[in-house]
This record gives sequence, structure tokens and C-alpha cells, in this order.
Amino acid sequence: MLFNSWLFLIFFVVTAAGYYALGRTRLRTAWLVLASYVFYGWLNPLYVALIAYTTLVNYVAGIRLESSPRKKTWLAVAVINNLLILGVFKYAGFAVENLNALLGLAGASYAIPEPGHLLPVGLSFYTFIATGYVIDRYRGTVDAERDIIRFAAFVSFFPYLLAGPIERAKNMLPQLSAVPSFRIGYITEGMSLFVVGLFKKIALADFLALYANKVYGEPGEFGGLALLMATYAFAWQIYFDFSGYTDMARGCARMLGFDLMLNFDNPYLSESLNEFWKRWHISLSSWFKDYVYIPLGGNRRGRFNTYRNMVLTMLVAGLWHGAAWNFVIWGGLHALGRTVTRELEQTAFYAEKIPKFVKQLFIFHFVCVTWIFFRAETFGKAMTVLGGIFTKAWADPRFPIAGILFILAVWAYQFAFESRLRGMLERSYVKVALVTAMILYMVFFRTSGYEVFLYFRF
Amino acid sequence: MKSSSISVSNAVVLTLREWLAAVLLSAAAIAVVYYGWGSWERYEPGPDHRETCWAELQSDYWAYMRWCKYARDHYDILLMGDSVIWGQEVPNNETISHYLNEYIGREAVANLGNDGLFMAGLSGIVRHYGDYLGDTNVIIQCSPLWMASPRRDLHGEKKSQYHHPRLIPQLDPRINYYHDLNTRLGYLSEHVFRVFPFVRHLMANYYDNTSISGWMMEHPYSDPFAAITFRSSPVMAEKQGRGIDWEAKEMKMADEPFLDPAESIQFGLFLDAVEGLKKKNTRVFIMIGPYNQHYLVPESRERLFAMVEKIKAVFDERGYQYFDTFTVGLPSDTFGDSCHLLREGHDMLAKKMAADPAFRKWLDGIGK
Repeated sequence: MLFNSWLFLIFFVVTAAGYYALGRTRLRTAWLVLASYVFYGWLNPLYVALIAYTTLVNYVAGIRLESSPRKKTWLAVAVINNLLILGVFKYAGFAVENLNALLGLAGASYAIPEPGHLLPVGLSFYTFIATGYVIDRYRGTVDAERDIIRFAAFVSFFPYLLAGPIERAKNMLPQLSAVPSFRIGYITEGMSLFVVGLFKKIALADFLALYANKVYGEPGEFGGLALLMATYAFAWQIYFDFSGYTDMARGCARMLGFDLMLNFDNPYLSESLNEFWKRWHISLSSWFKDYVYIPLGGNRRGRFNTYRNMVLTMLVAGLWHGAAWNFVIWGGLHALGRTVTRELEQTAFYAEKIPKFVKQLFIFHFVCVTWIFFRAETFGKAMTVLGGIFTKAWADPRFPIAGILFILAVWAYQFAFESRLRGMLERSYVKVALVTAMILYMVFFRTSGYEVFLYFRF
Repeated sequence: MKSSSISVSNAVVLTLREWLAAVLLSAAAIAVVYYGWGSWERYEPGPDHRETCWAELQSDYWAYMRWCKYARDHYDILLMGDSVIWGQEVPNNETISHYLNEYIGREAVANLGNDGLFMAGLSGIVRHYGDYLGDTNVIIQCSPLWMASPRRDLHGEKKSQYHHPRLIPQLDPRINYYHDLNTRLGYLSEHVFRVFPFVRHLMANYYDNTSISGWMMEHPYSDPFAAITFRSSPVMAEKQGRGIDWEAKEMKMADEPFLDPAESIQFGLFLDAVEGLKKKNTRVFIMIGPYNQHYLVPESRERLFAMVEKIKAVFDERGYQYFDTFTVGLPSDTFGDSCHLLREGHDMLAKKMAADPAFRKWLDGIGK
């Protein structure tokens, strides 16, 4: 069930009505769980069994971590269980593929059969939500959730179930415990988030996807400028797609009275890669920081260890995005970039002499280079794109003027929002004009058909 | 200025008052374009006009409604049906409506036929796009073709592709749809929000049958607004078929089961269409057929005639007036295929129908 579908609209209206109607009873949480399971099971009813199992294991571990003397054992049980689920459903195919390649290199005639199962949508997100909870329980930073229905709602809450944000127990469990009160403000804020997200998705991301898909489908057939424009197009497509999904998720949650964390904060305005990761997929990068980077030692044990931890974290983050070497390379490039720019930022020349805008452009372009590996289906195609940008003739790219105008307009808006002009953007007539323009654009100009959200595949 | 209570990366967080303003402004802008377009876009149907072949215009029901409106204002009778009525095998001036006008003696009949507009589709037209089908006179075609087999009747075992998926019932009766529930909900929404069919008119008429953003991708340096010329697509005068008879095409004899009308989805919805028209204070006359009985094996032909008798019994029971085209005795070489007639067939059918007492009586009642 996609947020940008009529089916979801009906589902959401029924869910919200039921939730507020049951507001003062304990049934409200059960209703949310039921709705979330219907939402998830709509894709494949078997998925429900998997999320129910994950919920049960992490719930029990969360309770045991309170009283059991063997806390480490219970933590290990839960974490290994979650990683095993991820391993079996997400990485088994990748592992088998690589093992078979090694067997082939060794001259073996035997090949391990590839697993036929599909990756359940949202698996990476809810296993991380559950894993974050048990680690927090182990550290004692959150209380054990004894109400299994509430815990199930926390793990499976439909707005963030499929593609985040990867919420934390300390933010969500208190909100799930509170008695909801219906406020018009929740509805209007939620609608605002939703309509912006919908616009990002169906007007901008799906539009740019038409160009990026065409060029990245057959990169060898396009000139250098077309490859460059397709890379820009994809950079903005993935931003609009993923942040649009998050906006819609936050909007739905807000209409039910919940406040989900900000997941994207105008990342293409970043002056450094470190800042980029504080603005891009914030819930994931903060998750990796809290549960991987810091446990590895963070930046506490000298420069070498800091960079080693950073590289390891980024490689794992790359692999989280997909079971393919392209994603590992993507993570590795970010690790390398963060290492180099971190050093660079400590020089007086870079810190003081280089204008902010130049830094922003540099970071944007570096991120664009990494997106090539993220988007291309194979390493070979990625190299075709990267090499082609610099070596192939810059023929007419036939990139729509409208696409350039959209990108520049959004970028200019974001610059303005983070400047002294923000007050102007917050004026009523500006906001009303923007939303009216978005509605009219979506009505008259929308692309026909839907592109599935990019981050569903992770 | 009250700032938002949620963390955001843009300023687009509206209050209730601001939302009301945005919704009102959007609705007003949409209404101006939607209602104004009819007068802004040039539309000049000539004699024997028929809408451009459906295959060319996908599902431009906005244009169909406009033709209904024009036809109701300029003609006494609207002839509704599928491509047999539209005139698949002939040019504009050789259609059934053309010859009916000739034999009636005046320009009374407008051709509202459309490619693939099966009986369930006619029901959808009446129900969802029938704004201008009231207070007039309609001849509506009841084609046995759509009851020839379970697949034609929309309840085959396999999921099938249908023409006009937007017009068939989306939820009840249960049809073996090829579209998923979400797509069907989208179709239902189009019946409520008429701006969506209108946008498809823009797409069909100005943007190569694709979305405007899709068109911008294909015409990267063109101004999408400049593409709007306010001229309706050229009137189609050519035939779509080859205009030769079915035996010359070496079509094989067919053995169709033909369904019991009581169990036919198409027939049930056809009755709904007739009742819908009557509720709109429209006088209805039914044309049964035509259908090429010559290309059926004898047992199948028997089943066809048995079915037609049952159909007539239902019409008699309901007091509907009708003309049975099988009484014309159309020769084999007047058919281009299973149901489409060639010029001679249209001529013969119209001549017989114009002389039919029941039709004459119905005709005489126009305007009284």
C-alpha cells in the first residue's frame, strides 16, 4: 500500500477515525497494531508472521534485560536473532552469489543453489527499530515496555514501517502510552507535511526518474553531458523520493497526534560530509552513530582509530542499503570522503578562505559521484557513467528545462529557508501560494502511473 | 506569526485558515479552467460527425460529454453504441446514422458510437458521464457480441483486458478485472473528481496521449503551455477497418456459446443503462444487433437466435420499444467481420429500421 494511492487514503481515514474513536480506551493501541499489520500484510500476508516474530523476541529480551543476571546473553540473543533475520532474507542471496564466484575461481564444479525468497519490504527498518530498543534496554536508557501490544505498535507503526524514519523507543513509547487528543493543529500540520511529501514524490521525484531511468538504463548510449544531467537528476530524485516518503510518513503520524523525528534537513546545503550525514537520513545515520560507531570507540582513541571506526561504520551503512558491492563501494567512498574532508576542514585555509557556497557545491558534487555507484545496476555501468562524463562528447543531453527550473527553485528555496529570508517564506500568503501551486501542479501535470519508492528496496 | 510545533526543513506548515485559503484557491482555479475550457477550445462538428476513434484518444470522456452536449442541442436523436454504430469499416458519410438521416429525411440522428463501448460501458457512460443525456431521445444498441462468451461478458476465468476499464463497475458486480484494487479506486475517484477526465482530454488532445510531465521529458525545450492551441483534435473522417467482407478476409467460422441474458453481466448493465436514461427523462429505443449470424456454425447460430428471443422477451416484459436487426436479413457479404457492417449493410439496416412501425411510432413521439 503506497502512501500516494487511493487505497491508502481510505485505509488512513478508517484507521484515524477508529484510533480517535477508541482514544481513551486501551483498544486504541491494539487498533494501531491491527491497522499496521493490515497495512503490512496487504503486500504479503506472510510478512505479518515475520514482524510478529521479531516483535515477540525483542519484547521478551527487553523484559529479561531488566531482571536477568545474564543481560549480555539476552542482548546477544535479540541482536543475533535480528541480524540473522536480516542475513537470511536480505544477504543470503548476496553471500551465495559471492561464494559461488569464489568456488568458480577455485575451479569447483559445484554451485550453491541461490535462495528463492524475496526481501520483505521494510525489514531493514523495523529490525533496526527493534535492535535499537534492546541495545537501549541493555544500556538502561529506556524502560522495559511490558505491554506487548504497545511494543508491537512501536515496532510496526505503519507510517514508518516500510521506509522509516527509524524511530527510537525513547521518542515513540511515551507517545504510544499517552492518551491521544484530537487537535485541529495536528491535522493541519500533518496535511502540510503530507502534501509537501506527495508533491516531492509524484511531481518531482517521478518526473526526474523519467530521465534518470532512461539514461542509467543504457548509459553507453548517452553523451557525457546527458550522463552528468542524469546523475544530477538521480541525486534530486532520490532526495525527493525518500524525503517525500518521510514527509508523508511524518504527516500521517502527525494527524494521529504523533511526532516522528525529522529525517532530512536540506542535505544538499551541507558544507561538509559530516554535516551531510547529519542532514541526510538522520534517523539511520544517528542509529549507526549510536549503535555502531560509538561502540567501536568513536573518536576517543586517536586519529587512526577514529578513521577506522568511521570507515567500518560507513561500509556497514553501505551494505545496509543493499546486498551488492555497489552499495559497499558507495559506503566506502563516503568513508574516504569523510576522512579526507575531515582533515581538510582542520586546515585554516579550507576553514576560512573557501567560501561557504563553494564548499556546498563541492560536497554536493562529491555526493553526486557516490550516487553513481548507488544508482547504477552494476559496477561496470557505474564506471561507464563516471568515465563517460569525462570522456564522452558533450552532445545535447535533452534534459527538460522544467527539470532544471524545479531543481534550481527547490535549491533556492532551501537556501532562503536557511537564511535571513526565512521569515518571508513563513508569511501566510507565501505558504498558501506554494501549496496552491503544488496542488494545481499535481492535478494537471502529474506523471501517469506511479514509481515505487526507492527506499522500499532496502 | 505562530511557528510550527514540529521540526521541519521548510516553511510549508499551514494553519487551518491557510489551508482553507489554499483549498479554496485551488478549487477556484480548477473550476475556472474546467468550466471555461468548453468555450475556449474550438469545437465545430460538421455533418455526420463522429468522435475521433477511441483508440486514438484513449479514454477522453470529457470530449465524449462535450459531443453529447453538442448533439443533444443540435440533433433530435442520439445513437449510442459500439464501433458498429461508430462505423468501423466505413467513412463518416456511410454510417448507420448517416443513412438513418437519409431515410428519415432530415439531420435528426447524431452518431455517438465509440470503439469498444460494450454494454457495461454504455451503462458507465450513462451513470458517470451522462450529464447531457437527459431530456432527449436515444437509440441504444444492444449488441449480442458482448454476450457471445463469458470472456466478452466480463466474467471469463482468466483476467482479461477490457476496453473502457474506467466505465465498468469497479466493485460490484464482481468482474475478473485485470486491474488491481488501487487502480479501480482511482477510476472511481475520476467519476467524482471530473477534473481528472478533463486532464486526460488535455493529454490526448495536446500532449501525445501522455502526461504533461511525460510530454515535457519528450519535448525538453518546449513550453508546455504553448502546446495548447485551443483547437480540438481534427475530426476523423477515415474508416478504421479495411472495408472488405469477412469471407474475403478468410475468417474462420465461429462456435460461440452465447449466454443466457439472465446470467449476463453485460445484459444486466445494459438494462441499467436503459433505466438510467429513462430516469433522465429520455425516450429510449433499442436496436438489437447487428451481428453476423453467417459466420457462426449452425448450432451456435441457434444459440444466438434463442438468446435474442430471450432478450426480446425481457424488453417486451419491460415495455421497451426495439428494432430487431436480424429481421432485416442482412446478407453475408454486408459484414466486415463478426459484427461490423460494410456500407451496403448500413444502408439496408437503416432503410428497414426507418420503415419499421415500432420505430416510426417512436419517431413520431419526438417533441410531443
